[in-house]
Amino acid sequence: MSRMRSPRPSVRRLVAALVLAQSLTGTAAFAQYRPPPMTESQRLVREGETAQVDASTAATSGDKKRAETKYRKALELFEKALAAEATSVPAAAGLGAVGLALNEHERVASLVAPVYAANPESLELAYPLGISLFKLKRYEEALPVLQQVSVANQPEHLLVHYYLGNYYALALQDGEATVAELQAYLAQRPDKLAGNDYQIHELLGRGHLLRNDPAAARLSFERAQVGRTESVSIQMGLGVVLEMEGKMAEAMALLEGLTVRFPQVPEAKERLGRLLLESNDLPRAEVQALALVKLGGTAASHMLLGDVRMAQARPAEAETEYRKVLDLAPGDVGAQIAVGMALQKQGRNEEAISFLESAVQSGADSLSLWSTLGSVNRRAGRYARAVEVHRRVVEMAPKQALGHVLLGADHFATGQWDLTIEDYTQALKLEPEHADAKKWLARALANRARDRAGNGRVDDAVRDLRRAYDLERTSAMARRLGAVLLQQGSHAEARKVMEQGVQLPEAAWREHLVLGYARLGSGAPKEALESFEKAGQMAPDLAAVSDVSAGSALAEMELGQVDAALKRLTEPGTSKRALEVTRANLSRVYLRRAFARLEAGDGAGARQDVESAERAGLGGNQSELARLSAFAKGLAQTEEGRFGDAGNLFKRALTPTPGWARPNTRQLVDAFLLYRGDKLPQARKTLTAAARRPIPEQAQFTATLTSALHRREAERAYSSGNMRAAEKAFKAALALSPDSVALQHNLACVAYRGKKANDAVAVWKKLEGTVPQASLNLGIDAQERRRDMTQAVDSYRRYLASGAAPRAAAVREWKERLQQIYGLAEPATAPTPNPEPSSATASDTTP
Amino acid sequence: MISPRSLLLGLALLCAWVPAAGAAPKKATLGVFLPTTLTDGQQRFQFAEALAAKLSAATGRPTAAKSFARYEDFSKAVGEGIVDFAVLDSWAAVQLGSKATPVALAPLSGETAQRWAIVSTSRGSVKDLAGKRLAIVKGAGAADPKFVTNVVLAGDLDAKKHFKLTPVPNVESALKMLEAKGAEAALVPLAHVPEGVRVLYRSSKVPGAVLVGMRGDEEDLTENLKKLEPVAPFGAFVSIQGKELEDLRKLLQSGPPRRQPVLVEVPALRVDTRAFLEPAVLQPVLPSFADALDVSAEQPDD
Repeated sequence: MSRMRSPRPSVRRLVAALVLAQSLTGTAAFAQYRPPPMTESQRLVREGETAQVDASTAATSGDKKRAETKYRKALELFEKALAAEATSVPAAAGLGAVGLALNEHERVASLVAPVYAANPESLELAYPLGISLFKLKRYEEALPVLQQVSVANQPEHLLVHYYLGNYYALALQDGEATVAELQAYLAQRPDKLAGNDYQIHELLGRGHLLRNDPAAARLSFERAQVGRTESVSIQMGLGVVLEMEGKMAEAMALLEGLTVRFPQVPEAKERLGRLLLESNDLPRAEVQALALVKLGGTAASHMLLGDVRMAQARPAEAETEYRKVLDLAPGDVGAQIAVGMALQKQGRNEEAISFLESAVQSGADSLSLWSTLGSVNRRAGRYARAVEVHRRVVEMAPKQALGHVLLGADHFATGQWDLTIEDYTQALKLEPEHADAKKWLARALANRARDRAGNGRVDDAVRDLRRAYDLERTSAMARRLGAVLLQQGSHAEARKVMEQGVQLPEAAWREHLVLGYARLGSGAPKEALESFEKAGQMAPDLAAVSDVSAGSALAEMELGQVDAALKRLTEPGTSKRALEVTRANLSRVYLRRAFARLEAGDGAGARQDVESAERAGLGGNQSELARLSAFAKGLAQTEEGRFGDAGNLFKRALTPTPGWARPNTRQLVDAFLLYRGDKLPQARKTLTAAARRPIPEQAQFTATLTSALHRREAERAYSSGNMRAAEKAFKAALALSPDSVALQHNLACVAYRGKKANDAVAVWKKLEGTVPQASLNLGIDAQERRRDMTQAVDSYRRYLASGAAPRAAAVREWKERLQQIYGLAEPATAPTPNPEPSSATASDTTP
Repeated sequence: MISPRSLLLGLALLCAWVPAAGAAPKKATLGVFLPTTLTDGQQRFQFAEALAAKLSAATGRPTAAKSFARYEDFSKAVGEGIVDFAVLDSWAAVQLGSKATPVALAPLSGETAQRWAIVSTSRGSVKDLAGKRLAIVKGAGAADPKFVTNVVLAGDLDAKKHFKLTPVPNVESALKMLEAKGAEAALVPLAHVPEGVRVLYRSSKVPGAVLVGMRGDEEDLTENLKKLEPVAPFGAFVSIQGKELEDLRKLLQSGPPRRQPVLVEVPALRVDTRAFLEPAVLQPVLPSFADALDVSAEQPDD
């Protein structure tokens, strides 16, 4: 109901009421001077003026009776003069002036108006006519006449500023105009009238309140109060200033003081009661409301008490009060609505509806009433009638958002999201800043998105939630959008949304959890782990903790912290999501480690991981995961030299081609298997077939395998003494990687045995320091071919000093034997890595 | 007191003898020729006697011991078929060729192999002994220089050209000759080098004492090894698993093969997961976020 009838009357209304009260008290009359007439009419006018002067004098001397008699006489004379000359401006002006003094407004209005119509520029006609019309409450006629006088700004028409100031404040609630008129008054008023300035300042205060300028208002009210006994209306004005400044406690304290010092003033009690009700201080609000009713059972007092009873959840008593309001002010729309609401609160839906229906039928064609009727129907579950009535509201106020907002609520209540969204969208077209329309449009979109995501319409859900998040920037809305983006696979965008979402107020563990998954999905496991840690710190219960832990496990899995990940996954706790994560990922983590171990050459470790994955469950023998597991096992067996078993597993895992395999994985792995089984020509043939359709991610492996095949062939040919074949194969390998020093070195070995010893020695010398075997071979050459034992020993020593010497034990014996035979001691300065004699490390066999 | 176990064993032995009951068990002869492994003649004799006794017990065949001081005598006895089993230095065993079949090695101080040393009373290196006399224990004669060149010096120096080789019957005589300046150097097992003598060269390890069979009884011998208790100064015999003696024979005959340049060998190529699998397959599977989409039950009201 907040939009239709606030429990706290607006400042505007309060000011208007106060101004009305004021305008009834302050009146002042000002004497007018007229020159004598020449004609009959002029003569009568002069006589009238004489009587008017007498009356003025008598009034000044305090002889009211004589003043009245003289004014009456003057009035009679002016009327006669006007009868003698119907167009006489002086006669009409005199009549007007005297008529005002006698409060004969009807007579002034009817007699002066025709003369004024013929002389619209005459201010002496305009002034009394305008005042009389104003006093007769014919404001619309009075206003242009008074404005004419005000613009002329004549000192003798000073009072017109006061009347207009009142009217602007009362009827038009135009603060700027009010302030302008009153300031014009203050600028002109003679000193002898300064005593009444307090009234002007108080009214100015109201004007400033209407201008939303509490500081200026306070100044005016304070000026009004200075040097005078405490005035309730001025103090209440100051109270409104405090309200406007948001100082509610001070405002209430001020009002409370007034209720104590002026117990008979109802306005202070009512206002205090409203403020207490608003701040939900029901006991004290009740005290004020009851006191107000006791003071005099006005409609406002019963309304307040009714509102207090509603807030106290005592709707039956509230109804009684509201009905008293209707007794005092029959047809009061606010009270009718209130009765309807009170009935509904008592569960008397049908009565509420029929009450409001009959109110509507009896012709109370108020927007609020129709709105309430519809909403009461909605709350009673009569959605069709609610929609029907609220459509009427749309027809009544087609330029307002109100009707659409109400329809939105009706459709929201029935979960008709499409219609709801349409309603609120329409409302926002009319009032783009309508806060409720924005809020509930966002919620309706969120509801529709949830339904759509549940029905597989993820893209549509994303669209809805993007719009909802634009309307409602809350962490919860960010979470919904982030979650549905994750479901869509848009990890990067989900991450962007959630990075912002966790910065918003009220971001909690769930928001950090979704951010964690978004970071994980967008390839930032380290940052993901941080998010999960944060979520863990905020987790409210054990289920949440295990939820978060599952996320951490996945991040750790990505970071290669497999043991930590496995520990978490094997103890998933109680959360449903954690169990889901474990079910989907535990065997996967084992398989990942299996592949990592295979890449490191650890076949046995890989096989153990595959067995663990099998135990964790692979979803049936024919599942993709089971076949991936079989594939990993095959690779592990290959690594362990069980080529036959491996071949069978590859066949099983890759027929037909599973989703995880590349189109040529079968051929490629067969080539690898043949290579590891030393079946080199077949391996080469299979590899060529596999590489027929190149896949970028395979380029490196294919090249490496091709090269490895050449090298293996070369090594075999070399050891069997077939130097021609060895040379060919090494050259082929070298063509693939011309910078390989190992291949250059090996090709030199082939050359050496092909009677090109000097060439080979040149190459080895070049490669010494890079390839340890070059030193070894230089030593062999020195010993075997050149018989230069000193050089041989030096070369062997360099080979041994290179650290990573695979033949260290044998070569150390060679070196030491030569040293003993030829008396070649270690160089004095050279550091000896092993100063002990050879016996400790020497090979147990002769070379 | 006879334990039930011993009784059973006795019965089993009795049964085992039944097929051969008709003929008296044939006497066997154990030959011992250890001129380089054991330094003392008395020690060799005692060892031979003790081992023969143990062999008799182990094989159930009465075995007599015969200790030989010189290779010629031993070789002759073998040629005549007198010797059935023998314990001898492995360098001598391989010189016998196919006549002797190696069965087990006799460890000394836990080692079945030993290093040889070229010792001298003077300073310097092996090279400095060019043209000098080197006392060596005599074997088959022609094979002796080969032992020095191919086995002890691993082909790195031709002993026949470098030294004047001076054969002696055993280690004691070699060291005595060195002491008496009858030779400038001597080749002896490293374990027997006395104090005050310089070691100019030490060889790689060469198999030490070996038990051989001469008459095709090696399988019996191998089976009974377990029952054979160790005889000092050796430990329990260790069956020959590899081809230690065969390798020694080859090395003795031909010397080590010529060294050839060594290749840089690359370890076997390993798996590349990326090449085999679509990249998404091992990505973590994210859970459902349906519950994150929930909306509060709050409803609009005016």
